Amino acid sequence: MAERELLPLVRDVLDKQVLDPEGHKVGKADGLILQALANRPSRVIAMEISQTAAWRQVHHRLGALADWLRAKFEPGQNQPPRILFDHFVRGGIDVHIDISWKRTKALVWEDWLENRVIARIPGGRRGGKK
Amino acid sequence: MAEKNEIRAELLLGRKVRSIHGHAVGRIEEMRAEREHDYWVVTEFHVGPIALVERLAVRHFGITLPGRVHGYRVRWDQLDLSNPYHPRLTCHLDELEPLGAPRRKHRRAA
Amino acid sequence: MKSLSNVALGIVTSIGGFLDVGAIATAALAGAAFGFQMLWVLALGTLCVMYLTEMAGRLACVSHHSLVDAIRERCGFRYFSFLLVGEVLVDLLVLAAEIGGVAVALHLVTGIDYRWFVPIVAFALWLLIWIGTFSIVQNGTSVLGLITLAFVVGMWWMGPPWHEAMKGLLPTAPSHDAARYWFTAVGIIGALFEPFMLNFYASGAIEEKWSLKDIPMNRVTAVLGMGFGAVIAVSIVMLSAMTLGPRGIQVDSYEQAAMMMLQPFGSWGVPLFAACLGTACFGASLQVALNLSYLFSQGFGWNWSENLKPHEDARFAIVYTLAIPLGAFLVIILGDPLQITTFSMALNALLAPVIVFPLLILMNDRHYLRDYRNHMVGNVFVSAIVVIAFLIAIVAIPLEVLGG
Repeated sequence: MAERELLPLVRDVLDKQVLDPEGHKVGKADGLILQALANRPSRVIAMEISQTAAWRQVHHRLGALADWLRAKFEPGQNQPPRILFDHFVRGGIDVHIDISWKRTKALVWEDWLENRVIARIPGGRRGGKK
Repeated sequence: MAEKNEIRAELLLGRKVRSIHGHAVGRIEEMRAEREHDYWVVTEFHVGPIALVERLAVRHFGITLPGRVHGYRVRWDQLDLSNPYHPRLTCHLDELEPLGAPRRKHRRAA
Repeated sequence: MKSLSNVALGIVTSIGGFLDVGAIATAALAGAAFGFQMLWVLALGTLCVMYLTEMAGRLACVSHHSLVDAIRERCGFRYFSFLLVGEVLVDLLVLAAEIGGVAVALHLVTGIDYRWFVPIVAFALWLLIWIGTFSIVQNGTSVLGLITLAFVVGMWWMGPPWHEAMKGLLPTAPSHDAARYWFTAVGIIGALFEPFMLNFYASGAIEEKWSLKDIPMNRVTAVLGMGFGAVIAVSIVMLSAMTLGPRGIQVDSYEQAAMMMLQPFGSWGVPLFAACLGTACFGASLQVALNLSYLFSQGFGWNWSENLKPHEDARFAIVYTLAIPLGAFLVIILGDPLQITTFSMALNALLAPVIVFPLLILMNDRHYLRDYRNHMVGNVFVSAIVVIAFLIAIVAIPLEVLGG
């Protein structure tokens, strides 16, 4: 029988830096969603990149506060950003996915700050590396 | 918010697993997934301090005591996660594989 | 050129540890109050921080992950959250103190109340980070930091009793005021074990794109860089011991500390001291401000680099843009930078084990370090540093109350 490929979820996926195919940083895998199935092992369905998932690990009230802030202020998002585990390529000290960061909706704050704040400060919006 | 049949793996981490009789067995320190067709499925949970030692790769520090069982490999069907905050074994303690022992071949439930 | 640039990272990092506003004041106080007796503390602290710095650099070279990155990834978010909260508190206080230190330096040469300079210093700090690159920050700070060699020149000019100084390298019990002696010793080591210093160094190594071939250079940089800072700090202790101690001057303010330069340099003494204090504190404040951005970005997985334009790493830029005015506000509200430093040093000592302990785990992790993990001797040394850090954390607050 062939050796099965084992993936340690805590060591190689949870809390790791998620990188898209270009090496762009998407965020940390703050949460992992499992789907419970009757009489079958749970399926790993998604990674969540979200302050809510992160702070909920510390205390459920902090998670609730983070979720309230997200729901109130995060531009255009009803739910915390999730990346379906179908896009998982490999784990390790980084997690590699096969979709571009633009498709993940994990960088809404980055975009909002870039357009609404940074762009209004002189010198903030000039193309290319310094 | 998670859907009803969704479990947050990061919230399982560190949860105390209790035996059928309510005794503490150890804390969940690792979850292992395997490829099943197009999906990854969680096939085992590693419970106990040795699991943490292995996750942090400090086994060679020699901080475990010889002769004592410091952790267990718990198969998915041996753990009841209906209440993820209070996971419980569905089998007796002596049916669990100690961590560090060679893996037993087992048949997965249909 | 690259080798010089590499060493510059070591020098700029050592400025944050050995020559920031708190370290200069503590070194001056140590020399004035206890002569050469505390040199062994500096020597011990230097050895420890050289080793810690080398490890932080090695981690960056092999894994291309910084210390904060690796701590979050290996120890989890719960552990990281303690580090985050603690380090934000400490870094903001240190940032406030450093901005205050630059303002005090300007006050020393102009006589104008230092609080008027605080907004100007804060703006200059922000502007440099906003438009500069990591090389400019690193190399500029290192070059300007060379002015602190004035302490070495001054010490040498005074003709130090080398025999006495050598005796000071051996640990001795205090001859008087034991609580203050041990508080000062804890302050010196606590100032060296600053979490921001180690992560700044590792982040800088990644900014400079260090890789496996830079590992030998990393060792040289850690030793030379920290050695530079240590030599300056030792010179301050010795100069203070020779000039302030015999006159019974207790260092309670920077005006008093500046007097150590009068004998060797005459009327140039105070401006020279101010220049040294100002450039060292400005360099340290750059480090701390950047480190706050590194802390958040690396901990939460954002895009980050001082070499990117602000719009390319908006969240990274926003953190220092918010932190710098907050630091400036704190120094205006809280007052004397020396008092802020004293308090932040105690908090620093509490936080040091939180960042040093994970190093013991990370430097043995084959996923991060591959074939460059610590050997047994290295692990024993790191374990000893962890024990020292824990002991310092336990005694820091009681000693602050008794001897601060």
